[in-house]
Amino acid sequence: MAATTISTQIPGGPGLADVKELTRMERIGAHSHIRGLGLDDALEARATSQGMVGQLQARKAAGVILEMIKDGKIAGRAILMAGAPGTGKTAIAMGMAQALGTDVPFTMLASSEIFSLEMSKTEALTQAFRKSIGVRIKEETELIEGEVVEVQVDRSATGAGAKTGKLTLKTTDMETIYDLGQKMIEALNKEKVSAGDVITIDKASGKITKLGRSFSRAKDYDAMGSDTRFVQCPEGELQKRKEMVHTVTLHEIDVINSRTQGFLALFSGDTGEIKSEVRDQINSKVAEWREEGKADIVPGVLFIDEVHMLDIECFSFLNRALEDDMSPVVIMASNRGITRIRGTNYTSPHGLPIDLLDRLLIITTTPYTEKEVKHILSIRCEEEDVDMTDDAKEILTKIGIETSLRYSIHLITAASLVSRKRKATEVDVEDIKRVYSLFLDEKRSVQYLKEYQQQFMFNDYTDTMEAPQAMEM
Amino acid sequence: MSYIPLQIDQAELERLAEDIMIEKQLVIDLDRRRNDNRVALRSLSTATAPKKSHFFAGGLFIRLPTPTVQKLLIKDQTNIDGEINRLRDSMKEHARELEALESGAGNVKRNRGFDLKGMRKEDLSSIARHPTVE
Repeated sequence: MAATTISTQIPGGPGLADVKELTRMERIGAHSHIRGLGLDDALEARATSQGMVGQLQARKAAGVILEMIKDGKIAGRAILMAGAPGTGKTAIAMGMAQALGTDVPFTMLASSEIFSLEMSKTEALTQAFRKSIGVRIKEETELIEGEVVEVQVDRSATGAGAKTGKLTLKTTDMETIYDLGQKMIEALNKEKVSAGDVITIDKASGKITKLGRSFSRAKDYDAMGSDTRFVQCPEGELQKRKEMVHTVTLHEIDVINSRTQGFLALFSGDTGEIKSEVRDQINSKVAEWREEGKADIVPGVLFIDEVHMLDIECFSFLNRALEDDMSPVVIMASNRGITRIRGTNYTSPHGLPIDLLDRLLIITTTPYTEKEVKHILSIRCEEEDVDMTDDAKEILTKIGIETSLRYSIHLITAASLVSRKRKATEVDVEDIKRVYSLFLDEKRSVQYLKEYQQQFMFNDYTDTMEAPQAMEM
Repeated sequence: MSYIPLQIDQAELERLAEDIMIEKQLVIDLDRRRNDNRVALRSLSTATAPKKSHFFAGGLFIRLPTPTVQKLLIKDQTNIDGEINRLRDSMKEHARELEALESGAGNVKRNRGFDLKGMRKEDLSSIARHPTVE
């Protein structure tokens, strides 16, 4: 569910709406109901808004951080979200990602992803850091855009001389004639430009692009190729200046420069280790662009989940990386109390060394109240398209309080399938009871295991021989 | 009393929008003249051009030798180019102001990044192309 700057554009069209409907089911993730942080203009958290419920303090704190990020003036800030499991840490991170929008790079990372055979831990962390910093640049082109009225090519009388020609282009506001040289005539022939096509001629390179056919010429022919697209006749002046703003991440620039055909590596994901000389070169080039006013740095957010899984070497690296002037905002999430730091034998709060904790702003999340649990379950029911009676909601809320929030959320879809089996439209108490008995939560499962082992203790077998048999069954 | 500021804001918005529309139309008219000049230059530079041509300026037809007319036309072209660039920059500025008024000075989303200096294709040789989605 990470929002990166590579945007895939889904082309609009009547047929594709159905495809989107079918795949919507797969796209409902655990946090897909979150649209933002749900804060008002004064940065006060509303009780329920934009999919977020409760956790007012944590959301307010996240809102303040968000303002700091939007200003873009801070770098190297790190935040730790600490709380019991199922208290909304990842949900708040998702809310921040949605609130920031698609322009700001937001990378989500689970700590265990760092450990891979393909690249070292520090390389993986460096890549994650650089994926979270965007560079905004503006591309400028001058081009001539218009609908072709007539293409006229004159061959000289001898037949071996240079061809000359005239191209008449028009827009809704004006029309003019261009004299063509040899190269341009060849290019037009190659693109098979005919009257009624809407074309673009790049002034710098002379490249011709066919945008489509004009609507007014749609009735010219009865039979046309299947790939003919119809576009409107362009408006305004013929010679336009087109400006496009792109946001690319430093990581993407690194990968493209690290080897030939580097942009293919971006799609395949097989980037490998990138040399530090390449990175230094990119840094100096980007700094140069900043000086010249050609580029803007957009510091983004790196969210590291389960940060207690990183080891002491990663923590030392983080200490150093956070002090870089081009560092993103790092948000970490941890649900451990005082545990051992991986890679050492020392214990520390949240599993992080104290010098790293010193650099962090810590936001705590508290467990949800019964009312909040009920509300969250209602929102999830809506998101998963499940109708539930109020009694069923009450029972589910009680289950959520006694066991865990996640377990009750998972029961929702299961209960809706059970209710469909008995041809009912709404989920009722009996459906909830049925799935509750079918699917065990963590506590009951442990209890069952203990009882199960108890059964074997009444056998005549000795203790040492019991263990393998228990595993088999 | 809070009714009046709202009114002023609306008038300001309309004024800016009107400015932008006027500039847009001016660019179109200037471009039309530029193209006409270009066609004229082309026809004057062919071998069959007359020695003296009539040049229309300020409501008068003036008969001048063709090279002079060509020089005048080229000067006119450069003026028009400069004017069109100036108008385009002014349009961008007004569009930015318009958005700042509409959604608050801090929330300029549509026009963010357009104040950067443009990069040509040569500069972009080391960058990927990912259009922003906004």
